Amino acid sequence: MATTATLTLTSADIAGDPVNVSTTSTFTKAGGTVDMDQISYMKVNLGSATDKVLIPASHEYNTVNSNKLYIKNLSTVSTEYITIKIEGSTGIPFGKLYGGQWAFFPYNQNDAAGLIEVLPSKAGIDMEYVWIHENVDILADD
Amino acid sequence: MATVTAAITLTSAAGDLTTDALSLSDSTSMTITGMATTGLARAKVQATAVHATATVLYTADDYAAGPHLYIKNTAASASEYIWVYEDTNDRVILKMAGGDWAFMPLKGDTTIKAYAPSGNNPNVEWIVYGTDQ
Repeated sequence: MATTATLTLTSADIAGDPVNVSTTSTFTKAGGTVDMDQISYMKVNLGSATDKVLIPASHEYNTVNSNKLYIKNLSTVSTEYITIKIEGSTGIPFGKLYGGQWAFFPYNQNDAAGLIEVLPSKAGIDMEYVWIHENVDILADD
Repeated sequence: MATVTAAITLTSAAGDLTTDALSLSDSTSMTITGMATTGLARAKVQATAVHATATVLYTADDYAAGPHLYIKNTAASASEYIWVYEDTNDRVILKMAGGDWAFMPLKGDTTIKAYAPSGNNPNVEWIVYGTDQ
């Protein structure tokens, strides 16, 4: 009984010999062995190319927590992208998902680290995300 | 020309995240002429905070836009964290517990580094691939 994420990375021709990396992580609450037990699974239309979208949609902070995020650009146009940022006055960009691409990562989410921001290259791009988390402090909403 | 395929499977048993079992699978392939890669690298993370000696996972603009990064914290204990940050503003982007992995296409114009607050020097593994420039 647990939630797991498995990655398989394969290539027959990136090197002289085939490359095959496979790894699995089991999701636990911060620093321990207790299974994570909360999830938000959303499909979102990024209706504006200038207005950022936050994940989650409101500030739900917890200073010590565990967050895992799967996010996918659902566009079928390979040149349409969404930029992934750490929340800030202008946002700090670090990820870029072109049409059809996905990312998965664990991250922090507190007042110091900020939330995840998403900004599309054009209005109307659909994305989906799965945010797996633990006890969010809803009293800290702003 | 080379092709790399990354596949993910997320699974959750019935009663864990939701009443019913969940399963999500997805994959993405990247085919590039003249693809370059760092290969699979492994290093002890020595720095305990944001610092010049932090482990460099990716150097800004080393690849054209959209390089892919795979990272794993190989520590056995979930309390053994590796923090991954961007080196322009020193903002933490990933908090990786022991056993965690991450996979993402990068924007590519920012250096990415790692440190481990515990001082126990956990190992980090990583691969970057994309278009060399």
